[in-house]
Amino acid sequence: MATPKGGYAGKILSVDLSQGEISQASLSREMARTYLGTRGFIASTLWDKVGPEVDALGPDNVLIFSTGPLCGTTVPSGAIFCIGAKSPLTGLIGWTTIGGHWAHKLKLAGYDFLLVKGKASQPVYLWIDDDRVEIREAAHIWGQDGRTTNKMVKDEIGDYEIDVAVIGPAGEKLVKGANIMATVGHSASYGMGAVMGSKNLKAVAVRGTQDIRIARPGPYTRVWQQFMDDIMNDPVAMGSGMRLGTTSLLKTANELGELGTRNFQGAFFKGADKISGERLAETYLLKTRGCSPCSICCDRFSVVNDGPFKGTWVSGPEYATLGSFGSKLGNDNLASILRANELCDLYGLDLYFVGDAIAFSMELHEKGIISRQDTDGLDLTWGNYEAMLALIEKIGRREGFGDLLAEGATEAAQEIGKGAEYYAIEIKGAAISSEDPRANNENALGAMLSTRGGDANNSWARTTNYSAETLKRFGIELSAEVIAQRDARSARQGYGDLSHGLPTGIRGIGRLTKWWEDRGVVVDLMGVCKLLWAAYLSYGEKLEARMDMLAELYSAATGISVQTEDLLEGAQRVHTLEKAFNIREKDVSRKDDRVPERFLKEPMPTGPAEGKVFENPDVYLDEYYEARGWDLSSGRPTEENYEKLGLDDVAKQLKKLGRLP
Amino acid sequence: MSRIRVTDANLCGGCDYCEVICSFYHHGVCNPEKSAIRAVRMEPGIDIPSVCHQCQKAPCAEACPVQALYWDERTEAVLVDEKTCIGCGECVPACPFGEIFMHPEVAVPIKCDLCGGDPKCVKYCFKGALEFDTGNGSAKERQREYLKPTAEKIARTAGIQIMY
Amino acid sequence: MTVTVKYISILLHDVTHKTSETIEVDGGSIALSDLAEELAAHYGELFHSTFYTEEGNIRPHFHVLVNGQNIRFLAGLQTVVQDGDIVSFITPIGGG
Repeated sequence: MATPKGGYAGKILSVDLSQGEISQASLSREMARTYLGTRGFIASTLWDKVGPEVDALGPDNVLIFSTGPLCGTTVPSGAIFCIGAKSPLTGLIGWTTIGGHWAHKLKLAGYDFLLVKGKASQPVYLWIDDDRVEIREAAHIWGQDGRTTNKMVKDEIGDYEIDVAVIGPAGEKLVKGANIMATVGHSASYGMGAVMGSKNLKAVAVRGTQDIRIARPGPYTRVWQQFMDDIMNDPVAMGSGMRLGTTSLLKTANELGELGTRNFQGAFFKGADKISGERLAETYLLKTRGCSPCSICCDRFSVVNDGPFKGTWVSGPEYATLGSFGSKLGNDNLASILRANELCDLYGLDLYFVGDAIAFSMELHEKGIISRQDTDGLDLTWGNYEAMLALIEKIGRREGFGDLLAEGATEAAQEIGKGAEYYAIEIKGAAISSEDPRANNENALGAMLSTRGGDANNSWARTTNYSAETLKRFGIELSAEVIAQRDARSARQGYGDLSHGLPTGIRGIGRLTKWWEDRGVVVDLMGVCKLLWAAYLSYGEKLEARMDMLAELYSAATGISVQTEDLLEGAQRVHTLEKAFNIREKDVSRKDDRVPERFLKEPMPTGPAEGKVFENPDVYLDEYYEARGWDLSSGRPTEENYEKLGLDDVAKQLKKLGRLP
Repeated sequence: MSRIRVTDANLCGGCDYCEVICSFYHHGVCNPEKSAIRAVRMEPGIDIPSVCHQCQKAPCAEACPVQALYWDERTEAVLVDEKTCIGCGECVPACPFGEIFMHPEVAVPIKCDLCGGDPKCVKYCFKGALEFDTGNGSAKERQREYLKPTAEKIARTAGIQIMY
Repeated sequence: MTVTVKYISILLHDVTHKTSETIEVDGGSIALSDLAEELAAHYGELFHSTFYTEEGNIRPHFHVLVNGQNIRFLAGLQTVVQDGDIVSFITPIGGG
C-alpha cells in the first residue's frame, strides 16, 4: 500500500487504553487523498467507530489528535492541528483547531494522527518518543493543574524540548467545557478535556526527531518563496498581525457595533478602550510568541507586574479572552481578564465555555431568576470581576453553583427553569464568540451552520472586501437595497442602519457563507492557520489565489497532484461527513440551524445596527442549502450529494434510519 | 569575524521557523534536529536562539583528531571539511555553547556555515531576532555609542559642538 | 464644519500617531476622496502609500465607515461626509 512521498509522515498511531495496546498503521495514499488531514481524518474515524450508542464520556469514544499535510514544512503556520471526538458538550461531532508546538512534534515523531480509545484502569500518560511509545503511570500527577502537569512530565522524561498535551483538574472532573492544553497556553475546546479525563489519560508527551520530506522540492520551493514574498510585502500580516494578532479585533468589533456586551444585551462596550489589544500592548504585553513553525508569531505573552493580580502570566490573552471575560461580562478591568485566562490554564477550561456560563449567570442574577443563595453567596453583578474569578474556580472544581454550570449554560438553564433558557446564548449547545448576530450576519450564519455548534471561525466572509462584480456571483446586488435604505433614513442621527462588510438583511449572504465555509475547511484540512491564510492575506479578491497556492503546495509537498477544485471537493466531502455524523447522532436538521431567540426578538439598542434584529434567517438558510444542493425543508444533504462525494455507504446508513430527505 | 547574532532575545518568539528553514536549505528536509540554529525555550515566556559563535580559536576544531574543522577566510565561518571528517563526534562535547550537533543520518557535524554568506534564518525571521553580524566596525560603533554621553558633557563644558 | 476621524486600524495609527481627531473643513460637506487627500497632504507620503495602491484605489484591507456604514455600499470615495459625521478606518480580521 503506497504512502505519500512527502508532506504526510505516513503513519497512524493507535492506542487502546483498556487493553494497554499500542499499534501503528500506514497512512495510505488513498486515505490521504480522500480525507486530506485534520478534520478529514477525524470525521472519517468517528463516522466509522463512534455511533449513537457510544457515550461521549465512555471508553468507546475515540479521541483523535490529527495533523495536516503541510504541518512542519516551511509553509508558515503549518502548525495547526485538530483534536476530535464525540463532544460531551454538544453530543455532536467535536473537532477543534489548536496551534502551538505539539502537532510539529507528533509529525516529527513520524505520525500523521493519533487515535486513543478505551479507558485506562488507573491514571496514565502517553509518551511518544519517535518509534517508542509507552503508557506510563500518572497517579502522582493526577489532580495537578495544567502548568504543573506540563512541568512534572518534562522533569520525569528529562527533556524540556518535548511538547505535552495535558488536562487540568476540570478535565479530570469531566467538566463539559474542559479543554486539552498543548504547549503553554494553546487550547482545544468542545469538551475534549472531559473526553481525555474520562479515559484516565492525563497527558500525551511527544518527542520527534525524524525528517518531514518534500516530494517535489523544485516546484515546492518556487511556490513557497512566492508565498513568503507575499507575506513579507503584506502590511496586515507584518503590521497588524504581528503586532496585535487577534487582539486588534476588540476595538474593531466595538467600532462596528458588534462586540457582544453583557451576554449580548447590546453590542457596544463603553469600556472597550480599557481592554483592547492596544491597551494590552501598552501595559502587560511582554512579547509575542509563535506556533511551530510560523514566523508571524502572533501569540500574545503577558505578565501583570503590579496591582492585586501582580505575578499573573499568560500565553495570551487573545481577542476571545478579552471578549469572553471583558465585554461579555461588562468587565473593563484588564488585569482581571488576564487572571481569568490564567485560571482557565490552571484548571484546564475553555474560555468560551466559561465566559458564556458566567455571562448567562450574571444576566439571570440581574433578572432575578437566581439569587445570591443560588450562587453560593457570589454577587454576580455585571463587571464584578472578583465574583467572575471565584466562579471560574468553582466551575473548575465542580463546586456548588459551579457544578451546575459545568454542564454548560443550556443544560443549566433546563435545571433552573423560570425562563432561563432564553439567556443561554448558545448554538447546538456551544457558546458563540463575541460577534453579535444582529450586527454581523456573515459570522452569525457561519455559527448557525457550523457542524460543531457555536463557532467563531466558520465564516469570516466579512473580512474580504468584495467588488460589486464578485458579489454579483452570489446574487448580491446592492444598489437597489442601498438606495432604498438611504431614502428610508430621515435625519442623520449618528449611526445609520447599515453595518460593516455587507449591510445586514441583504439577500445572498447564504450563498456567500457556503462559498467561504468551503474555503475555510480547505485551510483547516491542510493544517495551516485561517488567521494567516484566510484573514491577513486574503483581503480583496485574494482568497481564491490562496486556494490555488495551497493546491500547488500540497501537490509539491506530498507528490499527490491536486487542483484547487479537488481541495474544495475534499472540503465538501469532510464537511458533509461531519453533517452526516450529526444527523445519525441526533437527527440534526434545519430546526437546529438557528440563532438564539434574543437576536430575533430584541432590537439592537445602540451602534451601527441600532434597531435591527437578525433578519430573514429562513431566507439565508434557503440560499445556503440551495447552494449546497441540500434539501430545503430538512436542511440535509440528499442521497445524490453523498454519492457525488463518494459517501455512498454513509447514504445507505442514513437511509436505513429514514434520515435521507 | 562574522556570525549570526541575536539582536534582542525578547524578540524571539520560539517559533522554530529558523530551524525548519536551516534544515530545508542544507538537507532538503524539514527537521529541527538537522538544523544548525536552535530556538531554546524556557518557561514561562523565554525564547533565545542559539547558533555557532564561529570562534576564531574554535574548541571544536582543536578537539578534532583529523583537523577537519577549519576557519574559512572567505565566509569567516568555521566549516567542516567533509572529505577529511571521520564523523567521530569529538567536536560536540568540546563546544562550550552546545552549538554543534551530530545526527545519526548525517555523516558530518551539523553546524552553522552562514549559508555561504546569505544566512536564511536571518532572512526569514520576521521578528528580527537575528542579524548577520559581519564584524565590520560593530565593536567600534558600540564604543562610540557608549562614549557619546561623556563626549557631550565635555563639549558642553568647553562650549563647542560635536561635529562627529 | 467638523468631522471626526478615527484610526482604528493600527496601520494608520502608526502613521498618524493618533487614535482619533476632529477635522475642521470649509464648506458644508466634503467628498471622502477630498477628505482623504487632505489627510494625505497633512501626514505626507507615508499616509498616501499606506492608504492607497499605486493605481489610487484604497488598499483592500482598509474598510472605511461613515457613521458605521461601509462606503463600498454607499458611494465609495464619492460618499459625501457632512457636519458631525464620524469616519472610521478599520482592518477587520477573523479570529478568536
